[in-house]
Amino acid sequence: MGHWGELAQRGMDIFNFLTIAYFFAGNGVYTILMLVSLGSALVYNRRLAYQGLQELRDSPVTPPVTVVIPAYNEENSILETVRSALQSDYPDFRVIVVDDGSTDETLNRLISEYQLLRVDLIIRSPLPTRRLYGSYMNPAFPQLTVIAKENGGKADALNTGINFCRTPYFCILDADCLVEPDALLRLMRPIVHSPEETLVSGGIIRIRNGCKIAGGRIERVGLPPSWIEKLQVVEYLRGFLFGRLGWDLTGGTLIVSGAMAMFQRQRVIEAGGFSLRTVSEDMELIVRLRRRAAREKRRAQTCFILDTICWTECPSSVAMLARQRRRWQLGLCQTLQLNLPMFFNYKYGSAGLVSFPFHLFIEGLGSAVEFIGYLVVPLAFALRLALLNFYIPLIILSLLYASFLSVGAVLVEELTYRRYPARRDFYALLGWSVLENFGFRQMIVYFRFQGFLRFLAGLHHWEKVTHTAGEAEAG
Amino acid sequence: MPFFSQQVIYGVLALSAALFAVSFGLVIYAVGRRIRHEQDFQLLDEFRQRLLVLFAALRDGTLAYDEARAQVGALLRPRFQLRMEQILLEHLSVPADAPAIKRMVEDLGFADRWRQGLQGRNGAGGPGARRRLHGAQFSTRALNAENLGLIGHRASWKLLCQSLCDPNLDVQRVALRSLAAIGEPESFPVLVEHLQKTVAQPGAKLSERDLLAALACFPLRLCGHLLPLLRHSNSAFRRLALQILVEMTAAQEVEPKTVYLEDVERGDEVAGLILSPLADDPGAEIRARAARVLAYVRNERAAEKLRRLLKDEAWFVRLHAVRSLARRHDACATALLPASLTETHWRVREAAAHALSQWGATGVYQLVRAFQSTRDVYAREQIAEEIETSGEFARMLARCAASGAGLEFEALKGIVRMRKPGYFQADAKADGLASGRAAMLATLSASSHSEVKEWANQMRAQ
Repeated sequence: MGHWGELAQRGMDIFNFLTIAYFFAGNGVYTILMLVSLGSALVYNRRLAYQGLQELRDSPVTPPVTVVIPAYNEENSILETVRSALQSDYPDFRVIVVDDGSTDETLNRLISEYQLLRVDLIIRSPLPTRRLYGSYMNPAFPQLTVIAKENGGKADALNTGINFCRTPYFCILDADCLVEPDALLRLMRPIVHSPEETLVSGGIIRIRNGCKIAGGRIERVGLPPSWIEKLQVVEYLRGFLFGRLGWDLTGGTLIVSGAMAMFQRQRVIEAGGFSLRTVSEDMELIVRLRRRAAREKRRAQTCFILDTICWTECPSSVAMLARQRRRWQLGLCQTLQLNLPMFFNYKYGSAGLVSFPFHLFIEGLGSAVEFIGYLVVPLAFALRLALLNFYIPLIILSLLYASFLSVGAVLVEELTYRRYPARRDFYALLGWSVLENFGFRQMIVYFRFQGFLRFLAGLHHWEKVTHTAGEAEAG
Repeated sequence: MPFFSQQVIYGVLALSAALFAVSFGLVIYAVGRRIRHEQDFQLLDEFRQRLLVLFAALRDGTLAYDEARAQVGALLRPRFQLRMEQILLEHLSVPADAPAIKRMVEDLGFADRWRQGLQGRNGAGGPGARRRLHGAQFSTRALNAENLGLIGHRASWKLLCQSLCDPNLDVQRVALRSLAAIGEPESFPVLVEHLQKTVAQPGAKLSERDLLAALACFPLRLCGHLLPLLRHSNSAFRRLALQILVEMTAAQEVEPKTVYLEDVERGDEVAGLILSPLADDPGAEIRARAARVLAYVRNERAAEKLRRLLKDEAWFVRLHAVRSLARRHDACATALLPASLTETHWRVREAAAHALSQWGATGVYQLVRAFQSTRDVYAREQIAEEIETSGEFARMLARCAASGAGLEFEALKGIVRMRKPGYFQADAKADGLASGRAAMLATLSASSHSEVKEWANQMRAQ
């Protein structure tokens, strides 16, 4: 072997070492999160028997809440979403739908369904937003207000909703989500019970594809028909049941799903509202609120509750899935970049010391590392730089580990919530949790890598994910 | 093969085998658990169905209580004791079943076991070590406290008070809730004391809101126990005591103006303190809460205090004074509230306009009069918004069509000149709202009054 060959071999050894280190660091953290979450979920399940939602519902101290629903071209799902939000079991709440300049029938469907009349609400804007076109109400539905505005993105629509919100807390809700009847109570419970200030309260989001829906409610939980949706069900279980829960337990929460989350209005206004500089405005706001609280030396917490709070619609085609994942990855990278001072900063506690570096190295850069790995390893095989008897067991281990984590998520679901009552669905979930790692995972890595490249290229635009299932399900 | 790789391969293979084994084992366990649970749930469903039939018979009078109790006792299975108890307690939501259930849980010895369990001496888990372990579990203690609260077990209030000092926060919280549900008057001063401790101790576990929610459930006649806090030198205590009063009065007011502080024991003393010095307290937070409680003070001085609080330097004090007047809805409120429509802070203006529109015809008249008399653009905007959002505009149109010209008709024209409401404007067609406008113009055109008809024609021509 010549000089260059030795050099390449040395380089490959270093690559091997880094691969192993990266593999164990990432999966090690995930394993710890899974074990912690399993224990926590089991305890939480026992506590459900005395959760006291009834008392919270009846209490005069329970603060009023506004549900803010930003909607852009959501004509298929908006009516079901608003219906489910209006049916919330909460003592005092309002719903504000912000039509973000939809080019479809979103606004007209709302006007016609609720017989809305155009009213002239006085515009008071603590947060700057795009131009408003009008506001709509019907005295027969005093809880509902619809605001129409120029298109400005989800963050701008949310800021508009906040401007019209009069309650101390508001809850953001995606226009393709169905709210669980007591979701607002569940989100408010940790806020009321905590002696500390709560920056955000979020919970578990599940996939509604495949469920039977009637009158804005999930009537029967089931698995969707297509493989791409089924695999996302497994993904969501893994992401929510031990990803987010685990971080919450360590106090390192940086992400609470923007599909539905509750915030304190005044704090959000003081922080400047949702940022237009990122496509992941929910995560960016949470990180910013955390930084602000730390800077002002306020004791504040983020809450992740282990209850299902809403059901969202997942993409049903590869093209839409690609859009969604590119956007998520782009938003993650943008948020991490905007908040780099948190990196290994002890002032932010575990969020700065553990969670932020993890999100940066494993979630942010992970897609690039994994994707490059998929290219480099076969190349190294071809050039005889990598040893088959080293990499084949490692690939098997990585697939087994990924399957173990996915199966673990399904088991956490089974041991605690059992939201999929049919035994057939449970077996199917177990099967798909293994199959997920053969093709689907690699595809997701590719989409995320694309998102990462867009971040590097400085691209900033929001890729709209359109849904088609809403109407069919509703029927 | 490089040394590093050789060493790692064995580890990787071993780990793969272990992972495979663990995953497989977990799957087998989960499948087995699901099958077992399905059988358990079937049994519990049967129990639930039997209870439904049994309680229906009890309500109909076709089954005697003793027989029903014996049947429930026979249905119970030690392995499902906790779950079956919960299923039984679910029937408390049926008011007709509640007395029988409360009696039954006493007679079947559940209440005693819950009391013992709350003290950590008992559990429903089974014999021996498992039983001791179960008894020590915080979730069992909390569940026992919850059950005692659900059945309103008055004899347990002291025990629940002791549980406020339980090492576990869940137990403390549930005990607090149960005490509120039981509502034993003697527990009120204990809770007030606990609140004091919570405020005084930094880093206390129970939140103020939890304690407030519990204390607000007690009857207003116990407000005398708050006097030491209302007189306290620490402003945090005064603020909390006032907040409790606000919540207690609001929670117990079934119909407007049925609750007054002076009607309850030591209420005069409390009202006196609120009138002076609390309504003049240097702390704006305290003045704001005092303003809220003044809504429930019959004393004539309350009106004078509210008049002064409407001019307070802090906008939220003025806001609470407006809300207080809205609740009073008396001559003083009728005289004072319209002035707040020209307030400098929009939240106060908004609250005043909303309060007036909630008063019905008299309030709307006040709004209309204020709209016509003021030159304050912000006030007129606010009134117009309230008239629109409350749906009053359509009713005003109908009234004008019936009664012809007058103050209301002038106000109506004024609102339309402000190009409001949007759906009444000529360009409403652009919003697909033409039918609403047409219907309203038709109402006006049908009027027997010429000036109304003429205006309708002008509007139509636009």
